[in-house]
Amino acid sequence: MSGRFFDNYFPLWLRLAWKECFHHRWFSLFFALNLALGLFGLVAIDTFKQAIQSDLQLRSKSILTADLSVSSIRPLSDTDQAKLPSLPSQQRTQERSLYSMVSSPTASRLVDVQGVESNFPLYGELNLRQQGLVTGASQKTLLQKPEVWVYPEVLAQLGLSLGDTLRIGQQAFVISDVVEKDVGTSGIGFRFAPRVYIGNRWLEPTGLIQPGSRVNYYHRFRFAPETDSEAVAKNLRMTLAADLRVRTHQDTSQDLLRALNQLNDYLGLVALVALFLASIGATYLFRSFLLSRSGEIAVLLSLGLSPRGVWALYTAQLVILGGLAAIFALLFSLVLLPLLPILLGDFVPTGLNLQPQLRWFALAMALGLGGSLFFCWPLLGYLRHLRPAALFRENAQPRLRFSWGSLLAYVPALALYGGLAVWQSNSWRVGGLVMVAFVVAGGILGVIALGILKSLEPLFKRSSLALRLAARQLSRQPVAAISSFLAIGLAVLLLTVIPQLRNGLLSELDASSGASPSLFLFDVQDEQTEPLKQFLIAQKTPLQNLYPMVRVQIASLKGKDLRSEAELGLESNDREARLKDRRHNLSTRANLLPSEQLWAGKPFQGRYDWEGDQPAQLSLSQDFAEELKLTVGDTLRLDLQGVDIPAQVTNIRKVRWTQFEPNFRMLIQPGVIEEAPKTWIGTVGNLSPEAKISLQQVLVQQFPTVSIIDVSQLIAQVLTILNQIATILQTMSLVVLIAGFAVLYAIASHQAQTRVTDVALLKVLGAPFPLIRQTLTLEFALLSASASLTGVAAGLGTSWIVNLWVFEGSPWVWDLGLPVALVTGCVVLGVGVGAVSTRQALRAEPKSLL
Amino acid sequence: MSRLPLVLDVQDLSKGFTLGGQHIQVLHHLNLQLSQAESIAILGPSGSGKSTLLGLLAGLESPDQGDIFLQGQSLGALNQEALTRYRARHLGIVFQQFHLMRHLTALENVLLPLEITQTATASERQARAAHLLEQVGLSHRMHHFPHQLSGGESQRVAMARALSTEPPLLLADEPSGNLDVDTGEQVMDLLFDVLKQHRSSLILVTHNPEQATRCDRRLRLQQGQLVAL
Repeated sequence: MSGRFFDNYFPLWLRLAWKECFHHRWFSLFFALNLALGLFGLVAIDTFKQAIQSDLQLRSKSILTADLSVSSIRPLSDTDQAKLPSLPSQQRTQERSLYSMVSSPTASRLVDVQGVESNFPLYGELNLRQQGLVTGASQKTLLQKPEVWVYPEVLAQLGLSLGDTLRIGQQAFVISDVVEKDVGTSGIGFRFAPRVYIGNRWLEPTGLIQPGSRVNYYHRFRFAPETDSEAVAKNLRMTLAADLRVRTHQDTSQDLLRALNQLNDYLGLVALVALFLASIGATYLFRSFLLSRSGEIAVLLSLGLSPRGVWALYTAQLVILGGLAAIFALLFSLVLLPLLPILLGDFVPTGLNLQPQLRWFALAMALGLGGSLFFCWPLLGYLRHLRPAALFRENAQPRLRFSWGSLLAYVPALALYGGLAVWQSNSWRVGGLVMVAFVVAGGILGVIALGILKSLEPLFKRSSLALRLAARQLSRQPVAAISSFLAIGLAVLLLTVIPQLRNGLLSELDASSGASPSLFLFDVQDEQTEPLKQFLIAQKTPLQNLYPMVRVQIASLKGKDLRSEAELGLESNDREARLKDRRHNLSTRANLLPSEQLWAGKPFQGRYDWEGDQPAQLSLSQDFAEELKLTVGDTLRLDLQGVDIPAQVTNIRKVRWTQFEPNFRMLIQPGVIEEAPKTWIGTVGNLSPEAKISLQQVLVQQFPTVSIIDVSQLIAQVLTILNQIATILQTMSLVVLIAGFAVLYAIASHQAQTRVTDVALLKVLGAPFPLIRQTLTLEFALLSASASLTGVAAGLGTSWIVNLWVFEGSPWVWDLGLPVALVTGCVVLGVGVGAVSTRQALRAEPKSLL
Repeated sequence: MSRLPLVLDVQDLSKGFTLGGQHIQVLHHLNLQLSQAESIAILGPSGSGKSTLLGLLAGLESPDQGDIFLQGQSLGALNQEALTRYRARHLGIVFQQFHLMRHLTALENVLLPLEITQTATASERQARAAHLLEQVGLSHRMHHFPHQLSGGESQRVAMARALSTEPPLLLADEPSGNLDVDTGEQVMDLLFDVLKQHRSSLILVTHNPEQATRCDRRLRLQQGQLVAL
């Protein structure tokens, strides 16, 4: 019944396509699985990205704890206060936050102190160990008493318990509760310091709020549901003072997403390599399939099916197979995505919803069909050269023939990958560069592959018969071998280069950790510098690298007023809008440090003349100059606590940030900031762990307002993140390697079909079975070994070049273990794949020749 | 006896190939006429051009010179698309190597040309294909795939397929060439029986002089031309 229905309502080409898929189910299965492997990476990454986006959008109000927030680094003037939205008191709240040292009798550490009011939080809830859920409406005793809520790690690190006393500045606080789950945090990334909550009015008794202190002031608002927060924000941006920062809850989630998406973009590009390799594998499989179907296609043509009908038939088959691949990719994602948060650790908010969405399906289908059609369609061009008349010839079979012109048909496929690269990297420039790099790397590897494969025959001409036969096969039929070579070589290159770069960075951090300071001291007030110097000299740990620091905003860039852009509501340029919003640390010094060098321009000349008409000379770090798209001679205006300072880029410095010396992305010539309210940053040199702890303790007692960062803890946090990123990229590269071996299988299976006659002939000629098997084994071993060795060499070379460029002067280190493991693994896998793919050829009966 | 209408008229047909830089003239001003229900056998040694002639008659190759008229329609005047449609309706082909579609059952193979030409309704097509298989004695093998059939059975399916659209002309290329003698005989008996019922014309290419004698006329292809025997 269903068969009759199928026959009646579906066109012939579709029915034939379905039957082709069903009858050749092993081919269909392998084709789809191979393509699914490539699709999986992209689908998984996109799904992950979307899940985070939805999560952040859903929680955006509880992350900001408000609909809108106005923040500043100074108390708001009465004029500004008057311009804020007038809302009932229960719909607004104020907070202040600053970093400060806290201490117990035995230990001290840096914390993020949040001073809150009764309506905090306006959205969301905190989960406290004793009190349970706390919302804006909850009673909070810390507003009336000197009490503090702390993160669990504060208790652990300071050896404290509930009810103990915690000293913040000059005020002692009783620890009344522990924050099990916080509000106002995204749950993404690492925290500079754990948070503690106190009542807002209890900040004054701490004595931490001094002129120049790095205090952030927040005014948060909860609007009626129908209020358009964005419109209110736009209006506020136009009316409030320039140094005030207006954020909506949507802005907050977008900021977080922007940072996370950079990692996702790079992951996406690696996944794209896997999809590319999988597409090559699929192309080979389909080519092999199409060749095996030549005779039947000729019969169909001779029976009167038009070439268009044949084309429709195989296009329909590709659509079915692409769809099947998409379904497999979705199944892989369903099974493997829940493991992603384990790999990504701190990058993932807890409780992320990774349930299947319609978008998964749409994306997988689009990529599955795209990958299948764009790469395999050009093969249908072979049909033009099919000569069904050969059916009448006894010893001839109609064959599909390759033509160089058909290569042009792959241009849309390359364009598709170019588009995907741009989409994944979110940048025309990066996407384009990736495509060019990919084509160039492929070209170079291809030429190397050809050279190596061609040299195998002369290299092994005096070896055993099996080795000679294997080398000859690879040397004389290099086209198929080159494709396998490229697939394996490219995957091994990625697998080598990622840990190598990580090793390079680790060794750089290791090398600098010996020479780097033990403690960073910041928030040092002007009047504290001398007493602090004397105190540290007395402790025999002199203060080093003492620099002043102020926070500035960029008011205009190359004559373009960033503020007026914002006022006009023309924040289409996201980058500029962000720059305007950001506050930058600015320092001053006349000389270069050992960890930096002049990259462009000239050193500062003299002191700034406030009466003169020359702009202040500015020095930028190379990365900052690139971010701002500035070069020597460009002008900008800085807003320093309301004072407008015209400045010009005098030089650009190349800074080795991994040296952990205090440095700044922006330096201004002497004579500009000396009189401004500022703080100082300094370091204390290489101390033993014990000396470090005891010095930290006495420093907190003597200078409670000075903040201290333990550099080794900071390096440890950086290393943790570095390892997480490397692990994620490595995992994605493994997918690339698996895709590479799937290509090898596809190509080997195709080759095996053409080898049946050779194997049968060898048997007729009396070659023993072990010799034939040995020959095939050696062929795959040689191919895998040469490809993986080339990949390893290219990976090491790439990491050496990166090392030279990025970590100038740092010794290039490499670990022999990884290349050996990769080459061995590839040879074993290659031989295994070869054995499976050629098992049918090995069983060829000699009588088939008769 | 009044002469039956012409089914095939081959006029001044020439075809050559260039192989290894050398031009080989396979067919040279060849002429052939075939009437309705008439059968002719074409004999000739290997390389004499039999396959080339069949390819040209089937419209699968194009001549260098001359033309082929099938039921009055010039094949040379048709474009590729029209030629394909014309072949589907007016020609049946039986190959030496059967060339059945491996993933289709015997019934589906026979149905295929009917579906391509969209002849009749789906149920009528089914009935017709089943009837043809019955005619060639394979009603019990309808749902078997080619690999489940013997050589003789496969060739009988191929014959049923070739006749399914009731073409006026059947091209048979050594239909018993891949079969043992007895099976070959049976297949040929069947072929002539079925042809008689369908009143189709037949061009039989064969090496076998005995089979050739069963045709109305016997021709030999030599030096690119057909010579009566």
